Amino acid sequence: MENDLISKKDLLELTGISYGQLYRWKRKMLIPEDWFVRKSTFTGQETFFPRDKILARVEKIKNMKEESSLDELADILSPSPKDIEITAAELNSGSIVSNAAVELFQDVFGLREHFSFPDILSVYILDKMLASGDISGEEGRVLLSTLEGHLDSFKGQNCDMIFIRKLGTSVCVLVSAPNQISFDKGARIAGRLNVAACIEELKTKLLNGGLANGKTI
Amino acid sequence: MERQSKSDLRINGLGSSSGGTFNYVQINGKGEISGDLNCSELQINGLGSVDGNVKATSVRIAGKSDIGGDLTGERIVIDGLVEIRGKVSAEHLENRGALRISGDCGAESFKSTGGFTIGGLLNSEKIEIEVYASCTAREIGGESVDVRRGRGFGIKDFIDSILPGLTWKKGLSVETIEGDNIFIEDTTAKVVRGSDVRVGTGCSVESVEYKNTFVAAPDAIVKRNRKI
Repeated sequence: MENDLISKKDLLELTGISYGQLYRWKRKMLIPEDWFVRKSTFTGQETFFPRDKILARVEKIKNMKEESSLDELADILSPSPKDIEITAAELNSGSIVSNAAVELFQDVFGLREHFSFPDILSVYILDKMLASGDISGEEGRVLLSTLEGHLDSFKGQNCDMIFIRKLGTSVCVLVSAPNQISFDKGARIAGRLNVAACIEELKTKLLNGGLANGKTI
Repeated sequence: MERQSKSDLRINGLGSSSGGTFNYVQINGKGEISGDLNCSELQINGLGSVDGNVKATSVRIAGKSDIGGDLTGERIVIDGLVEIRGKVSAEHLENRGALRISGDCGAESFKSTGGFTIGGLLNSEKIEIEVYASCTAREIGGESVDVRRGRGFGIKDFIDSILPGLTWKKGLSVETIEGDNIFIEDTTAKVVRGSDVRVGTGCSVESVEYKNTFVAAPDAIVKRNRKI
């Protein structure tokens, strides 16, 4: 664990950013609260960060702040869903999700003209799980109904989606993150995804694909 | 801009409400709001309490208030005695009274001529504190941090002159201050880290870590300083 952390001082030196920038990004919630790890050292309290995550994030912010404002960045990086809507045709044509996932979604919820962000997110998570071979199509339905019914209640808080299998029965769980969760021996975790990370990936894909721009409600 | 016909909430005298979304909220007297409050303008004169979170464009509290949750606003002015049990985020926050925040306080600009206690981090682009009373925060961080001894009307001098034995605790006490540009007076801190650090009169700092410049006043106590 120790090796995976980087002190604030080292971070600033390594990336060349200032305290002012770091605190500004924190205020704008570009850096999640739970990455700030406070620890006692011989020089007093110091703040540490998960090394890989923070370095990747700082790099990302530095690259993206050229073309987007901090508020736009916050929108991309925050786990609260964005107000976007795309048509079924756009979703199909884009390389964001596979057709199989879209078809399964429409099979469960009926044909749709427009997809809101939570819908796209559900399809995206489904697609990821299907593509990795972690779950079957039938289990995909369980996943979709769980996401549809309960993802809202997390209201932008970070959460994990866990898929458990035991004796041929599968259960989909949403749990707020970071959190520890244990199961009995017979249960097997078929797949686990961090929803905030998925949202971020998806938003970046949508933006890069030009779908999010101009489609904002 | 959305323009919905939201109603106003006015409590004059004694009253209570279950909260909700309003345009203008004013409490004169004693008002209790149980639940979250969402409004464009909130003004409390007298005694006001809100159980939940408060979200308002402009907030002005001149009496004694208690907010059970978070306070979010663009412009917040505190003139009275205010306790917030959650966290505060604002564009501009001005404190001229006594402010107690249990969590973090984030604002683009933070100005205080009163006293405050912040349980968490005070995070602001521009922090200006004039020290007239006791100020405490766990951490302070931002772009520029400016803490000065209050130089206005000296109520403290007056009390000192009639009651010399009374120890009147004033000054800012904080564990760590981090910023690019730091100037402090009357401050007790464990660690001060920054690019340009000036430690002024009445300070006691255990350790200063600086990148470019470091200046200390003759009467300031700085145990260690280190260029990094």
